[in-house]
Amino acid sequence: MLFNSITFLVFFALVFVAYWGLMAKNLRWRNAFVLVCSYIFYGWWDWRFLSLIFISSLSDYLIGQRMEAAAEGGRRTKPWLVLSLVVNLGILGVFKYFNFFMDSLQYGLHGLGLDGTDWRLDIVLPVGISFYTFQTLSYTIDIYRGQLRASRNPIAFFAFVSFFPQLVAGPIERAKDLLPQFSVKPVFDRAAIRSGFTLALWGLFKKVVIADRLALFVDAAFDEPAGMGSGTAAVALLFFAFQLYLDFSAYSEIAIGIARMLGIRLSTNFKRPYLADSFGQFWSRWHISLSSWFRDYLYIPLGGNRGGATRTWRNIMIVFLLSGLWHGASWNFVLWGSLNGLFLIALDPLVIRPLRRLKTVGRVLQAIVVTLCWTLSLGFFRAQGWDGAVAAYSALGNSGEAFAVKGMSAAEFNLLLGLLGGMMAVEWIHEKWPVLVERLHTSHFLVRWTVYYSLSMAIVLLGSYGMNVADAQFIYFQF
Amino acid sequence: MNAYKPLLETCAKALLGLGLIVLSIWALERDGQFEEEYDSNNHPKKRWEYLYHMADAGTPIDIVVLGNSHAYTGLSPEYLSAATESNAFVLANNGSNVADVYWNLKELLTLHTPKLVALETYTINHDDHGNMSQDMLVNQIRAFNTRRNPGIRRASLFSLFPIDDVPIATSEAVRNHHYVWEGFPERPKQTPIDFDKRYLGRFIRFTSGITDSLLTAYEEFGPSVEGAERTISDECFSYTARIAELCDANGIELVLFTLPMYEKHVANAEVWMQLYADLAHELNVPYLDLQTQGDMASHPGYFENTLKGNQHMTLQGSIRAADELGHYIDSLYPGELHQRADEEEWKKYHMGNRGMLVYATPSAADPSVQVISNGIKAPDFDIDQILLTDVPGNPDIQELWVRIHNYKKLLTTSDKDLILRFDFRMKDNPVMDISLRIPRYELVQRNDMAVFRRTINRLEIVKLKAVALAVKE
Repeated sequence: MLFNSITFLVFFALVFVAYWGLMAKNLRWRNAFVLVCSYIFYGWWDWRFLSLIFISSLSDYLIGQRMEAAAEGGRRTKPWLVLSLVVNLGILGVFKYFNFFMDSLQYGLHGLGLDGTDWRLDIVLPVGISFYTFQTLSYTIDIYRGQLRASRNPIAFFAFVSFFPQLVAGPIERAKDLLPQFSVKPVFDRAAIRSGFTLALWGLFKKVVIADRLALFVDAAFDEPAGMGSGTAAVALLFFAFQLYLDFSAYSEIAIGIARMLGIRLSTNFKRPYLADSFGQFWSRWHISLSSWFRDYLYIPLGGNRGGATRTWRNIMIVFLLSGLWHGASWNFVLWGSLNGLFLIALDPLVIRPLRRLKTVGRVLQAIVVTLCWTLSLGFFRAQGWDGAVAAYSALGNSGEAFAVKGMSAAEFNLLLGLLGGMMAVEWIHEKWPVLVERLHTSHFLVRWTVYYSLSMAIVLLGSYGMNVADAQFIYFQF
Repeated sequence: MNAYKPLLETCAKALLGLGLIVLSIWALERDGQFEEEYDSNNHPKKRWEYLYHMADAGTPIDIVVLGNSHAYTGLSPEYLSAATESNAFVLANNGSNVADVYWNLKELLTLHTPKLVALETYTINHDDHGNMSQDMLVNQIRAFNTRRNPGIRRASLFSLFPIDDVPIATSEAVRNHHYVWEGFPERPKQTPIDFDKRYLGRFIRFTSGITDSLLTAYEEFGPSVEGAERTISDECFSYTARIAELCDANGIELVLFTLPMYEKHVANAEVWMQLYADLAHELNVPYLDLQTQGDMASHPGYFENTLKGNQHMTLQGSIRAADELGHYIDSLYPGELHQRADEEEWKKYHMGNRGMLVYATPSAADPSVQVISNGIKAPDFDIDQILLTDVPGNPDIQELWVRIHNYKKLLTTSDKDLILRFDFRMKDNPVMDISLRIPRYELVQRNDMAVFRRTINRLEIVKLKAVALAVKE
């Protein structure tokens, strides 16, 4: 079920009324209801893969308790943690990485003149598997570290793992933040509902009106990257950078918004990353829940920045390499991750830091450098395979071909440029005067309703959808 | 109740907001700015315009042919009308499946009282409304919006479209919202439909058949369609059963029939056709399979020149198919369904219908037809009629049509020409004598009658002298 579908609108309307009208008064009912709704939401896509969520939830629920009991009894807890890692990463490994590693092995053997067996599994990648796997892993790791008590409430725990607003594309919540909220009776807070609704509506606008329209150009360009001129290739890459941001941040905002309407707070996932003035800052603003997950559960345990420059660089590269692999089982993603690791290690001190001397102009230049380098790396992210990436990057040097608008009319392209300009203006205002956005929720109802009405009508009249537009999934669903 | 007050208020606000949006969309599309661009090929719309007009004008429809593009390109309603002495209408929309067909029939029954429904089976397939292709969705939306009955439209909405497509199916502003930034299309003045012209729902799309190069391609690439892979979805099965029930409830006979594709176009056709035979058996309705039975599938001239999966029939094929279906209907319900041959009004309605030259006696009021003779007894057969007709658009030539019957012992195969000897005069020239060889009209293949046709220069037949059958040269 997609957030940008009528099916979800009807689903959520029914859930909202039943949740606050019938279920919210009783905590157990509420949790059971959230669990059922979450399983329906996920099962709408493919009910068979509910079994994976169930296995993951059940194993970590039991392992959490055993681990805590072991700790209290003075016994070793590490075996339980290892078991949790094996179960969760094992499922992830089979469904997401098995074919990738087999293909790579095959390729390697072929390079050595050996013929390997063609071992491939005929499987589909379950939607959201990387997200809920990391979420539930954080639970067992936190218990192992003694930072969290094991849950004794199976319904609440299962609801925490499968909570539908953030199940398939995050934000990846920490158990210590989200799980306790399933132990508290929710309160019907009009202000929270209002702000949640505004956020979800804003996310929907970003997705349907801008991101999906950017996709028309990007998809057309990357479908045939070989024939592109440098201008077209550059615009396609830049548009993809914006598409990726708007699409993913839109999903996060809708998720946070609808969760807030159900009285559940989710963590912020994006903080205007394209205004970041260093690579370090960029990663504290982009996909925050994943970046912080890697920081807390991988980078810091590896030693973080405590062992000197070389060790820090090594740790950064490990994190970025694995972060690339988290995104997708292909060498393109590994390269994309590594490239961003290198940017962080090399360009922050060598390029960004010197620019700081230029004050305001320097900050603008810093933001431009960061965004452009990030954009450049996305060729690996978006292209289909190695050949596609090579073709896309080669097209950047193809000055013989004139710029061509792809996948849309000139009128649509102009509209898109206007929308992107407006979008960046809103981002900048939000950055400069965050209180202005907050003030909207408490403003006169006429102001609020004008905003709601304008956004809704813009979605209907300016949205990229309809008979000749393919159904637009969120990009991060594939991870 | 107080505990629910905040929730009720929130829900009321949400409904108010939703209402406001719906009202705005309704207001936007009221003046027709969001209507689809003018399309002269909007045949679904034309069909309904005619169906409503025919109902208003009291023109009855006796036979309804239902299906998709295969039906409206592959079956001539004019020839079927003449062959069955009735009014046959093809109500079919391109790309639609049998669910759409059901709702079409439902609305048609509010206007007309047909005696027989012939359902072409290509529309009974693996599709269902939950997995429509973009093309199918576009066609289904167009077809949905050409139906007029609001009650039936509402009832059909959720069975034709997944809930996510309901807004684009029902609202022009939502469907064509791209006009906002791409500009509203100019709307050329539409020519009003000329209801004086007879229209029975057909669309002549292909006039020439399969070429030699395509025949060679079949040898190289093999069949385009794998019959063994064809299935019938539960939804299609269910809607076919509903059509059968609807017909039953209205005292209408239902016939299933399959229009063919070229024999080399389909592999394992018999497996595919068995699906329909089983379906017909289960529904207890007759089934005519023109794919694997008879010789139709072996004539390259009957089929669209394409390797694409859904190969349609040509004009020639559609005439032959009408002959076969008409004959089948006659054999199932002899004289029970349609007996308009003696109605002058029916003959007048079908003036210009060339099928009348084949199967019926054209109206005496038809200025383009000259009856040379009727009811002649020859030694070995009877001549029903000899007609001389104008050829539309070419005043210098005419067609000579001869229909004979009672020849069974002599003509078991179509290997004969008709020799007609007569005196004639051309313009002011003196009367001359001629023996004219007239070939058999191959699009009519029946055992109980034969039709011969030949194009000749315009002349006046002064006197018939002799008639005989001769082996083809």
